[in-house]
Amino acid sequence: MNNSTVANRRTFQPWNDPKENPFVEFRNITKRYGDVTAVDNLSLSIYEREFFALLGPSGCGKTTLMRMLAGFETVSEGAVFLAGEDLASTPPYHRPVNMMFQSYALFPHMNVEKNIAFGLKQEGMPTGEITDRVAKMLALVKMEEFAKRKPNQLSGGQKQRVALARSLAKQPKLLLLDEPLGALDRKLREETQFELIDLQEQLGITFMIVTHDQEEAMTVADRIAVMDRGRLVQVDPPMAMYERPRSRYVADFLGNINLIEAKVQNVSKGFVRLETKDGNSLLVESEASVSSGDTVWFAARPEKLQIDLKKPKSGNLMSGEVWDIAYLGDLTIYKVKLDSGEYVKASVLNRAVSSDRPISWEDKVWLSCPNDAALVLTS
Amino acid sequence: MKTWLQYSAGRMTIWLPYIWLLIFFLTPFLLVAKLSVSETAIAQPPYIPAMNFADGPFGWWRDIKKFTVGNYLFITEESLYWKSYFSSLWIAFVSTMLTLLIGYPLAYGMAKAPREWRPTLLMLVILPFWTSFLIRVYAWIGILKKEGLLNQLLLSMGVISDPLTILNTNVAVYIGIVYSYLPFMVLPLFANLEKQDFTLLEAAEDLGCTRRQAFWKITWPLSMPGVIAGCFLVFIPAVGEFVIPSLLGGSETLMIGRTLFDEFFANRDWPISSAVAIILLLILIVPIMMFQRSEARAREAGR
Ligand SMILES: Nc1ncnc2c1ncn2[C@@H]1O[C@H](COP(=O)(O)OP(=O)(O)OP(=O)(O)O)[C@@H](O)[C@H]1O
Ligand SMILES: [Mg+2]
Repeated sequence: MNNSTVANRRTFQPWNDPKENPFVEFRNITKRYGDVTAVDNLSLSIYEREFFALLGPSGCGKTTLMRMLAGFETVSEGAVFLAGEDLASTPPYHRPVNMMFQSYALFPHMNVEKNIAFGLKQEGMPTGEITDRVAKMLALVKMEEFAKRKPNQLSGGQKQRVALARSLAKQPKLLLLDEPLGALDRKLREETQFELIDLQEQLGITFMIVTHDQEEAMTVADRIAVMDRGRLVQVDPPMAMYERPRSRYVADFLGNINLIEAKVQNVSKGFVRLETKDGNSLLVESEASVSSGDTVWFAARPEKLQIDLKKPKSGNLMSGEVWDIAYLGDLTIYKVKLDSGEYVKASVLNRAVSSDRPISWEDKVWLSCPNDAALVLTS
Repeated sequence: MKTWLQYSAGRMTIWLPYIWLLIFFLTPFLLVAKLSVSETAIAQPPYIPAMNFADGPFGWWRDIKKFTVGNYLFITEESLYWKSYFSSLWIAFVSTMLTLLIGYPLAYGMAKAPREWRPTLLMLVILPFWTSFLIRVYAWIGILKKEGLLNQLLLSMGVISDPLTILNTNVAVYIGIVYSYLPFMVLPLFANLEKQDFTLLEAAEDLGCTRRQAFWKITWPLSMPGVIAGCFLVFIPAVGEFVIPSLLGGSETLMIGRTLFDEFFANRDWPISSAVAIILLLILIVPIMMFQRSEARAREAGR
């Protein structure tokens, strides 16, 4: 892989290249704690210089997966490979992997500077270089003024930045970040996200990040993995994950989506015709492998639904009554009660500055969506 | 609105410990201090009181002017006392280090044991307190003497061919002190080690430390408050220890507690022995104050 491919992230898709060898490979990994199965027969490949995000609800095994890679947990079944080598017999201190801990794990008896320098000293770097590197790291996380403070004299967000700097200081080949930005305020979080991306491109480090914030995952990651109870549900680049979720679980986990139960009427040439419970007919462009009579879900994101007072001429139509309106500044979200009694959300971008919205509570409205903007989900 | 009574009752709870100290610590101390500046006499009790409470304030002043420092001068001139003080400090120091050497791994093992075992282990450490200290020291005589359990065991195992002389030597005193004061070392260390965050060690390993290096760079410095507390809790009482050197020690064992006892009961020189006690107290004030300062610092850091 050459540098121009890295510079151009649009063409950076090693996971689609069969010649590319994975940098990290989990091969049929299972991890059990007593009778709890934290990770369940999971296989995953991560490529060099990739920014990989793990998403999933609390307790689904994200931290456990990372800890097995860092070497703090043994694998119950399966094997972990790094650059083609089985890691089973490599102790944590010999793995070219650094981890930022969810609880920060800063050394309380050392000041910020010493915390950051710890790994460098351990590796025997000359003092002058250590000083330079520490200064660079402090600048990176904007903590220069706090160099002499002890961890217990820092706020949560400041501790988090020190922990980040400490894990970056050794410039490892692979950096594991367990919810690195959770305690930062929104602004600083966004800044740091972009800094992480820059850093990753500068240093060529492979990043694996755990986050609860789906927006964060979409911002930073080349690929996202959604986990559920120790299994991977879907692994895809952000856009594919958002636009083409393969299950209701992923669709619902990443952003908002309207799900309406329907029966398949017929399937033809990439189109599926559905009928909802109240007899509404919907046509969706879909490759889903379904056959007539199946019960499926018609899925459409709120921003894909158009809301009108007059009946539109074409598209998949549903009629209902405005139940609730939420003004969010950039968006207005309408909650519509369909004739079938189901609730559907539609969002509209607030382009114009106007206080009198044409659509109001209890108005009769029509919702429409183009054939290619909706999905058919089977599971 | 608080009534005067409620107010003073609230105050009372603050003053109570001070009143306690005044009655049970300061008063005996003053009595001993007074004794130490009195003159020895063949009498009952064997001294001329340096001060009479019945004299009234003016009488007291007259008495104070007659105080003698002769007892203190005598102690500085007599090498026996200096040697006793020095040897006590040395024996206490060595015993403290030995206790630390044994107590630290013990406390570490306890802190790393499965959570459900810890109360039992803690119980085992405290268990010896259920029997009298004196009886436990006597038991050591049975173990250490020439025909004692230890020699029998070693002889039967063929490790030694002649019984060892341990009883009535300094070695026996060290054994006695280490045994008796071990819980005072283990408990503060355990309290410290148990609440240390295990992920710190993982972080250190992640940054390139082996387990052993991580111990010396993280666990050990973080356990310093426990080490200091344990050492002082052993050292301070060990300096003035009397029972152990007199039961287990020999003629060579010079400890100030024994010297004091001999002065008091054998020589019946109450003023001199009081002066010896006062000087011992002054010597110990230094480490006690150091201990309190380090405790205050630990509290500050642990905030
Ligand atoms: N040491 C352990 N002993 C027993 N069970 C554990 C242990 N560590 C984790 N588990 C269990 O394994 C499962 C996965 O835990 P893990 O910490 O990986 O979750 P997570 O996805 O990181 O969650 P969160 O988002 O809350 O951090 C959980 O059910 C947890 O209770
Ligand atoms: Mg976690």
